[in-house]
Amino acid sequence: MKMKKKNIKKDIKKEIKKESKQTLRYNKTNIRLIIGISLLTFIVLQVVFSLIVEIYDPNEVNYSEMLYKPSFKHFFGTDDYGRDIYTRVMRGAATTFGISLFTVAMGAVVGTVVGALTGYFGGIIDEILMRVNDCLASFPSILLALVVVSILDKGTWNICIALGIVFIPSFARIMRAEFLKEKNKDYVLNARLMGASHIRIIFKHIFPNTLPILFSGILVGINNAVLAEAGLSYLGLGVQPPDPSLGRMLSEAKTFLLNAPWYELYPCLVMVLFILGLTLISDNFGVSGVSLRSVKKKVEKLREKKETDYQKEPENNDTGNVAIISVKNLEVGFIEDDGIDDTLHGISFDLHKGEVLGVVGESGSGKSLTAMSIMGILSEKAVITGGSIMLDGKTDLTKLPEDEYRKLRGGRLAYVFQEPMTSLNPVKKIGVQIDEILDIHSAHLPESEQKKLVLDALEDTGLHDVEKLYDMYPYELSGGMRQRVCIAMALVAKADVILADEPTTALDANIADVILDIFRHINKKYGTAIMLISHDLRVIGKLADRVLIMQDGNIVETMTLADKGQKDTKEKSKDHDKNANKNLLGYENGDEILRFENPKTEYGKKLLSAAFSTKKYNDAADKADRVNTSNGKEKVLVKAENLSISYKNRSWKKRGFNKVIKEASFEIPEGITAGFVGESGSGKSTLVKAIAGLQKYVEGKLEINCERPGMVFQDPYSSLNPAFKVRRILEEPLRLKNGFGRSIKKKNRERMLQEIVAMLHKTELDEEILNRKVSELSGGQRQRIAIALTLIQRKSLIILDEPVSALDVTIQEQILELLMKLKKSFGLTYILISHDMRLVSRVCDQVYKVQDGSVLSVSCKV
Amino acid sequence: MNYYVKKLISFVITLFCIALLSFLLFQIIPGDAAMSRLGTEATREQVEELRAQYGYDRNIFVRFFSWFGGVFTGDLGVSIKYGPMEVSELIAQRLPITIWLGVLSIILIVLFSIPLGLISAKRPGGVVDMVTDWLAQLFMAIPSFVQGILISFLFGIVLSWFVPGRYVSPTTNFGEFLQCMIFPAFAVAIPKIAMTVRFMKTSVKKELKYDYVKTAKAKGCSLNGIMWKHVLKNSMLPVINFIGLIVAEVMAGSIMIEKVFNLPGLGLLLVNSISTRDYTVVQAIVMYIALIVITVNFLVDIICKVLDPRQAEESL
Repeated sequence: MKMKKKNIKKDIKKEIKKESKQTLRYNKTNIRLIIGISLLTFIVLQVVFSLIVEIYDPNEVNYSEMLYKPSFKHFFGTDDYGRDIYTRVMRGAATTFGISLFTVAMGAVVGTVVGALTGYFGGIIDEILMRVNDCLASFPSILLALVVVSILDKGTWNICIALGIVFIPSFARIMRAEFLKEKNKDYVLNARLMGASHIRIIFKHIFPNTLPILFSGILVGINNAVLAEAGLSYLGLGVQPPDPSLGRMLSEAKTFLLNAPWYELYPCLVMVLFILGLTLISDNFGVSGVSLRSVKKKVEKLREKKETDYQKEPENNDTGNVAIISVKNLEVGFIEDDGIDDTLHGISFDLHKGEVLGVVGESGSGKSLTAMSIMGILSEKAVITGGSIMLDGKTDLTKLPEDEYRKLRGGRLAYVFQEPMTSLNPVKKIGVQIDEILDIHSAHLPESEQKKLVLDALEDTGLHDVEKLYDMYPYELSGGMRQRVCIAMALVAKADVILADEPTTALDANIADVILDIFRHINKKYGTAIMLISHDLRVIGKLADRVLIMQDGNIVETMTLADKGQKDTKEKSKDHDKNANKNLLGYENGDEILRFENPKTEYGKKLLSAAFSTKKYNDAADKADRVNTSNGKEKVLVKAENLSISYKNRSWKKRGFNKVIKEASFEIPEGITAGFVGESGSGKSTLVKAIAGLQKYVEGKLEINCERPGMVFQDPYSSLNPAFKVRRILEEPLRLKNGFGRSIKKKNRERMLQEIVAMLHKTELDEEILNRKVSELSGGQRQRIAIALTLIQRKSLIILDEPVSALDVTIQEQILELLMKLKKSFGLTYILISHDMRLVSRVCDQVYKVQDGSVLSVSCKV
Repeated sequence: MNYYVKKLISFVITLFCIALLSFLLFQIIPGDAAMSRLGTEATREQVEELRAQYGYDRNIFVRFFSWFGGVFTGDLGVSIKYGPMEVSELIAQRLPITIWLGVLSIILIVLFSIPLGLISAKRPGGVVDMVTDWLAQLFMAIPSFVQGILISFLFGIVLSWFVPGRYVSPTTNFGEFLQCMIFPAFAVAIPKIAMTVRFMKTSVKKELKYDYVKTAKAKGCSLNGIMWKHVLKNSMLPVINFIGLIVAEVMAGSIMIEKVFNLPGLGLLLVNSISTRDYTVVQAIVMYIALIVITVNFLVDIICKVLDPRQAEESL
């Protein structure tokens, strides 16, 4: 019986997959793009053909054939001078397109150079040019062209120049915006650290990344130029008679609209098809034609139909202890271009009343997807392909009609998102946003009562001055306060279940603890079931009763956490204070680790050991080594005395300088790992940028006794140039060093390749990835390449700016291992910046705390 | 308060710059108004005399500032073609028509593009979305004067809903005036509606990806509720900015359309003055059109600030 049921389920899935694949195959090729390309080729081929083969002279007057209707002799008929319209339209199109291409080329080239220089360098020239640009933008483009033409006088070349001038400002504007955006990305800093010149950075590094925007700008520009030419011709300032252009023909034909409509129709048709082709291409270039909505609907329908066909018996039989949420064999997939990509592979678990259920896993393990499935707020791309989610053992949420589901959301089910900064509507007042839940779910409350409920809920989350808060906008609140507001939303409706998706990840450590306390308080006070999702086992350990470990869409292990109350916690933690777990940094390791039982699976062990790893990379043996090699005397690499760093404040109100770092003094000897810790905004990044020579306005003494340091940035997504392949990225420093220009000899190319491959092996990467783009690599791989990039430049001092905080925990450990191995074999010195005290205390030999701009030396246990 | 002051200062600077630009542009032309008025056969003495009369022999700075002052006092010189008529008088006659045309067009743009954009984005790939999308692409591909000609042909000649080329002044009969204006206004608005619908759709789609929409969904908001209560206001901000940018294009469109419908506005005057090389008038019109554009943009900035209090914080 059971066997059979399983088979049936498999069948359903197979069928869903097969059918969705068929729909997708039909949808995949973007039909609009194909139409656009064919339209454009169709027109352009005819124009080119008419230029080569001349059947009629476009300007030959023949009064015996005036205003003939379209026929075989004259495809488009003849005009009022008896000239063949087809020939004239094609010749006119050639002129019009020629003018457009010329003007857009002129606008694009000059605009790009102006935009690149002003965007990249900024400063006074930028301000003046942008002001001029603003002024030019206040003149309607056709007006400007009109004035220029009327000054230069009529004629084809003058039109070209007039329109070209008109297009420069718009190209300059979009290119400036692109360069402004790109120049702050870490890959540009990386290129500067390599010693690339500004011109090289602008044209070799940044420019390739702006090409997509430039391309679509050019297409839109051609479109506008064609229309502008037509407009000028209509006003009598365009191409002069008797030569045809599309615009001229359109305006000449208007008097014959009644007796010879084809005269107007054909030039119009050619112009429309040409522009339509361009727009279709620019809109759909690189866009898949898959309609997510139709595929999703199809899958949902199929599943419902098939499952009701097969399943007759009731799902749940045990009446004793019914879980609020009971997930059974839940399968969720993402709709991709070539079929449905399974992401959750049939997971099952229960969530009981009053329970805090932790869900832990690395990115991509499907933990958020699970919560969103329960809430019924999956994105357009994701679709449930099988299984059930039972509420109270009665209703299957996966089949609930949207209208009824809506009543549950915000009512019995509540969701707290990761990003408090973006999860509130920025243009609505706090009170109104919470109020809305009551409006939706309990319609008949008087207003004053409703407001009282909202204020109570806000107070329950530990917020003060709730009356004032009620009328405030989200931007006036800190991240921690906003997260409390989000929790208040869950409270106001007396939710039975709160799904908290990484609720503390975006917050600073001490605020995160407070938020967890609020959750604990709610759980105790109201018996609310909480599903706490986190990548961090330490967060889970602080709150959860039970934890699901997820990996690649499966639940690999369920662990029950020991009750904190059972062990005499106070007693224990006092012990810890005295013993191993309290660091001299003032960081408390806490007793979360004690709550976890021994993991049964390999992955569970790995996760747990990574999260609570106490492996030290800064032990005494290393230090002894180091001192030996440098003959007992330490060479000081970086020396700072009374160092102050400021930012120029650009706003009108408070012109002047903002001191970010005040009077810092420190020394970093060769061969150690020095750490700078501090919370976000404390100035630690500014400090190390100054060491790397990337900071203006540095006062005091800063001595660096080695070449310019290398840098590994936090976000490996932005620190490597997305336009380059891995090989090209790693080649760049070698090219710069050897002064290779455009043409590189084959011998040199091979020598560089050897060097690159050697470096890849040292960073434990495969040669395969040489020809991949950055976007095709995982976070860990990218970070390894970033490290290889500094090593290939033979840097001896490397700055690590939060090198592992964007990575999954298990990957973090691997990268740390690698860094320490490389340090030994290359004799490197590291400067590590992190917000994570624990990490710093494990890795660094010397630690500085950065707080409100002051840098304090802290002792660190070695 | 600071925000407004800052915007006002930048408005004044831009105003000064466009005046300078409009003035300098016409200094490039060989010869001057005196010469073009008297024609090539005039003797040198005649030209000198007229120059002295109009003050063209003064220093360029003096001339600029006296002209710039004239922009506000209404003393912009005398039109060559329209005889001894003051330029300011000429403009005062024509300006209201252009402004009416512009205002009506913008009302049409807002009225059509915002709901259409919102509905298209609500069900991407749905019927409304498909139809608006293809229509928008079509209307964006036809030059605006051709659309004007087609409208005037279809509604004026074929359906006889209005008389093409007829114009009634608003003081005589306001109802008939509107009747005369509404078709030209549509002709100006349609290509811009096409652009704005597409922009609105992109803006809404972008908003729908934000977390606050997920929050609203998780609150139990219906799709309509999310659209009208949450997304509309947020997605309006870029659209209002966009409409501010479009005002320049609306002005450009009305230059064409006034010629098509033979409306005696600034655009028609401009076109006629260019062909008669009446540069004093051209210069003044260029200045006033740019002035309208920057004034509207200034207002748009203020509206945005009122709608979204954040903006002030960020841009200061």
